[in-house]
Amino acid sequence: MTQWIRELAGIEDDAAFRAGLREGLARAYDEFSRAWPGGAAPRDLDFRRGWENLLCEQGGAGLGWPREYGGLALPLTRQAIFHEEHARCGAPLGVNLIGHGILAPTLLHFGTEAQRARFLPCILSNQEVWCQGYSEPGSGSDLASVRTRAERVTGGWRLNGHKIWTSFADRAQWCFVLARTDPDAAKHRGLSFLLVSMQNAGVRVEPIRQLTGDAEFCEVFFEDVFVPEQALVGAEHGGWRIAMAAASFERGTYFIPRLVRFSQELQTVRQLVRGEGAQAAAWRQRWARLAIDSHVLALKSQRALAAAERGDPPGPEGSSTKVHWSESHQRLLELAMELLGPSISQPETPLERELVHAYLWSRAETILAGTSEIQRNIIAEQMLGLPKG
Amino acid sequence: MRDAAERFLAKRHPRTVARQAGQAGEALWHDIAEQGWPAMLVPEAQGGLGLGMREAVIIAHAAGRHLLSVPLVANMVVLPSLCTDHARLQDELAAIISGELCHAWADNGLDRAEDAWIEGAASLRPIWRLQGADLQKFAPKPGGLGLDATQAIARWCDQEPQFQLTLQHDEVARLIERLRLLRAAELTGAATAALDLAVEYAREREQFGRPIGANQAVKHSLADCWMALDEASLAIEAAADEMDEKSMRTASGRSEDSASAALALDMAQWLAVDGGRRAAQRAVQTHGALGITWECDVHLYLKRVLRLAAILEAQCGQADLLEKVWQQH
Repeated sequence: MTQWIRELAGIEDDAAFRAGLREGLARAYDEFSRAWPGGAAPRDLDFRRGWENLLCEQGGAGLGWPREYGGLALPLTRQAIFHEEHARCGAPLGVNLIGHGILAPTLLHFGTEAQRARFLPCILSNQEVWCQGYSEPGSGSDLASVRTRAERVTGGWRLNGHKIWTSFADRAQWCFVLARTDPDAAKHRGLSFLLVSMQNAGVRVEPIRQLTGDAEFCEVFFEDVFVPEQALVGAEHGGWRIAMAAASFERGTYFIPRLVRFSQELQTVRQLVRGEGAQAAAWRQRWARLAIDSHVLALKSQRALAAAERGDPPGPEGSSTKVHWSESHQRLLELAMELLGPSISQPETPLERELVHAYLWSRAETILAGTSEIQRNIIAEQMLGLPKG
Repeated sequence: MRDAAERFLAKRHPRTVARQAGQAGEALWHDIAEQGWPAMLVPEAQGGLGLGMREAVIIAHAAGRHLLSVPLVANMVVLPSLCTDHARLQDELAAIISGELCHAWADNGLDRAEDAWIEGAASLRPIWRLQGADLQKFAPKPGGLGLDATQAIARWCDQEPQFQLTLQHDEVARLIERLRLLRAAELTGAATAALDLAVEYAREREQFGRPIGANQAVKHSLADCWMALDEASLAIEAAADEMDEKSMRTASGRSEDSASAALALDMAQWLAVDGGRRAAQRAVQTHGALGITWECDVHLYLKRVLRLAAILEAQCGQADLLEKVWQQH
């Protein structure tokens, strides 16, 4: 398979780069979908992984990494174009977003040379999937209260604890874990960022069935898992800083595929708005309000990209985009449910099934990656300078 | 430019001056004109600054933030149209640009002429009004204070125009669009200042032993207001860019109709009216009982927001804007 994306990256002109991607991705996704038994299945995790593997083979990974690690060293504007065109072709997001979007840039910033050499090639090829061991049953929004413990032993640590809401843990080879290495320090100060193999005998994974019926999240149990010295990223007890920085690497591009999808769904829902009279007028108004949201979200995304390009430190604007996107996406799908009417009780057409699933999944979007309530605290405290509660 | 405008208005036009709108008068206008703002949109060749809407919305926003008590936005918008008849209006233009003369503005587009109001009415200010494609000039009429106590107004009454200038179709559309966007920016500026006051109060006012702003019911509603105004401001900037691009295309002879500029304006206006009114009202609530007093400045912003929203909505209501957004997509 040729690495055509890599070759395309050499083009001088952004518009030609975009046009090349649009054509190439549409063709590749179409071929991949037709070869898949039963055709495109964007919600099937095997299909998503398969497409992600293919994309990596064709040079669509490591876009922003330095060349010495096999990356393309593309500027952010080019990465943004890639994410936009990838979403536009209708392909789903992969299952190793955590590896590509969070762990890889974290290692590039904070990892040792040995860690980069060991892990980056397997992310680039998508051979190793990563998951993120942050939340615990007792630590949701209050992440710094994690109780998973890593006790010092000869040559490393012994890890014990219970993580939850860990996406794709059942498919992951590796997990980066935020664990307490100093139980006596203040809560933010006693944490370390550890790279843990999911193949360890003491690691147990139990998928959690969600209200959609699917199981993408898992519980992860660590029981006397040995973690060697070289698995520590950054300083011992310095994990909070790493975790906070890790969350910021995607800020320029995170919302791009979500906003493309939003505008695609907006057009889908528009087709469902029919009829005359007061109810139809109310639907048209709600749709138009959501079209305004889509417009403003695109402006926010451009602003975030420009800020990331300038190298500005991440600010609370990201929280505002998160709240705005997740809540307006829910409103869009609420409208879709109303428009579909009683047929939602037994969705039959692919469109009905897709929208009902999207509606159900959207209920998670105001909760994961920082609830709307926490995001509003961040805006109020950091943007407006209001005191902590 | 934003910082310079902020500094100038904070010094020259504090709220104590805004509260004296009835008397503020022509000295203030003279100082404003020295900043070059009234002639921002006038081409350099005709004595203006030759700037675009991107810069104009910054000034309009600042005017709203500081409850500017002279009708700057209307003058900014009408001046380029007067320039189209430079030969006859040369002296008048020079007087406005130098700050000797300020115009009052009667809003058009209303079904009944007697429902129109003259913004910035004062005994020395000639009144301009757009009637169809005609820009008409009328004799001054003394103003008084209405609901918005920081801008003098007078009720419209029919009289014979002293002067009339028929504008090209494109020029009429441009004047109306610019006025709508700058009013939206002014409204957003006033609402932003109201939110600032509310935030300041929520940080300082203590009950149950802590600032009221530590309570999520208070901080979340203020965060929502901040988001709404941020969204309005972003949409206003985007609409300004669209208008400037459209002007440049027209200037270079490529005058294809720009649906996206019209759509961007409709969306910006909707967000400004909706978010601005919500934020100003929430700012009163945040102040508790103090917020409903005459002494507390927050009502001044609420009333500016209400007046501007009413003018914008009289020409195109919120539901009508949404219908337009639906149709334009």
